[in-house]
Amino acid sequence: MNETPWPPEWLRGVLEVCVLAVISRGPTYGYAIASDLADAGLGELKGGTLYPLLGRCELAGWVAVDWRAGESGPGRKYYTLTPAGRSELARLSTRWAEFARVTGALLTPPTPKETP
Amino acid sequence: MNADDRKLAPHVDPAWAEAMLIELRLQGVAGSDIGAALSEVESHCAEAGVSARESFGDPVEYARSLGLPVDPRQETAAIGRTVGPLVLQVGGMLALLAALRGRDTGQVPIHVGDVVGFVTFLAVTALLVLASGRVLRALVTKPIVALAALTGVMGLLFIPAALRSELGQVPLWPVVVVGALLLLGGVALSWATDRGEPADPVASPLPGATGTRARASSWIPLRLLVPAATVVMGAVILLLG
Repeated sequence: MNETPWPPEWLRGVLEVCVLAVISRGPTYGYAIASDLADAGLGELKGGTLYPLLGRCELAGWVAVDWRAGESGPGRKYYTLTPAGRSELARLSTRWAEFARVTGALLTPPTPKETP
Repeated sequence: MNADDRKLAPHVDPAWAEAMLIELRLQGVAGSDIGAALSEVESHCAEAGVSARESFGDPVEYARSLGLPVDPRQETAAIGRTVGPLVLQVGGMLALLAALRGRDTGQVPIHVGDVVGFVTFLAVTALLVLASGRVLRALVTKPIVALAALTGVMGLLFIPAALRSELGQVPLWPVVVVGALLLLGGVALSWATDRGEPADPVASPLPGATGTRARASSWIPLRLLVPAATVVMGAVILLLG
């Protein structure tokens, strides 16, 4: 895994689509989302970053929420992707792939041309 | 923060939770939304084994970053509905106190100060309602300065009483009847408003859980404050002759 944290401004741009992608795999809750993102290699995510983002997704209607009681511990707020969230995820994923292709092409060193 | 609120978030530092709760209350967020936001912090801290400050940073900044919607019951119009009965009561009080001046002649002399005083009261009340958020925030963050300022503003209301030029005279009994109706009507209206407004507890979002704390209605002392002030000030006026 990448030990050096990603620059925060990079994360700010990509976090939303990544969070939607994690939720698209099935109903999940805040701490599990943070763990999945860390496991995926995005680094440790602060609650102060994740939950406001989840709140914005909820207000935008991209996720539905329900509270479930934990067996022994505290309750968990589960997030499920709505149809609107699914199409937003598809749109953002496509855009991000284009963006990655453009930046990737720009950053790839040109193959040295054979000089006569 | 009381014991019930601590039960809602046992893994969160009480001072941190209190600061977050106050900020959301000041924003006018509904109790159920506040309970849900606090429960999510609790859930995260318990599972991650981190402190709230470590993972969520400053509680006030965090509360602001959530962008939670303002409860319609807390908006300016709703505050105005609560303050309306108070305005009626003060109008009634001023009428009854003015009526005391006519107790011997049966005619009440109306002074310029009566009108200026009531208009000043209306203006100050309107300003307090419009700036209620800022006033409340000041009361929480700088209570002594804010209380001193409020007391000073209230003191200004008594200055117009010195304006004694007479505008005219009105018969005693209509003034007494209108004053009493305004005063009692205002009390009855504030009673009805309070009964109609459900308490807004900071509630756990979990199914089956009940609210932990009803917000104390800050208007209960005000409901009887004006009638009490009328009696006291009337007694003083009668005693002074």
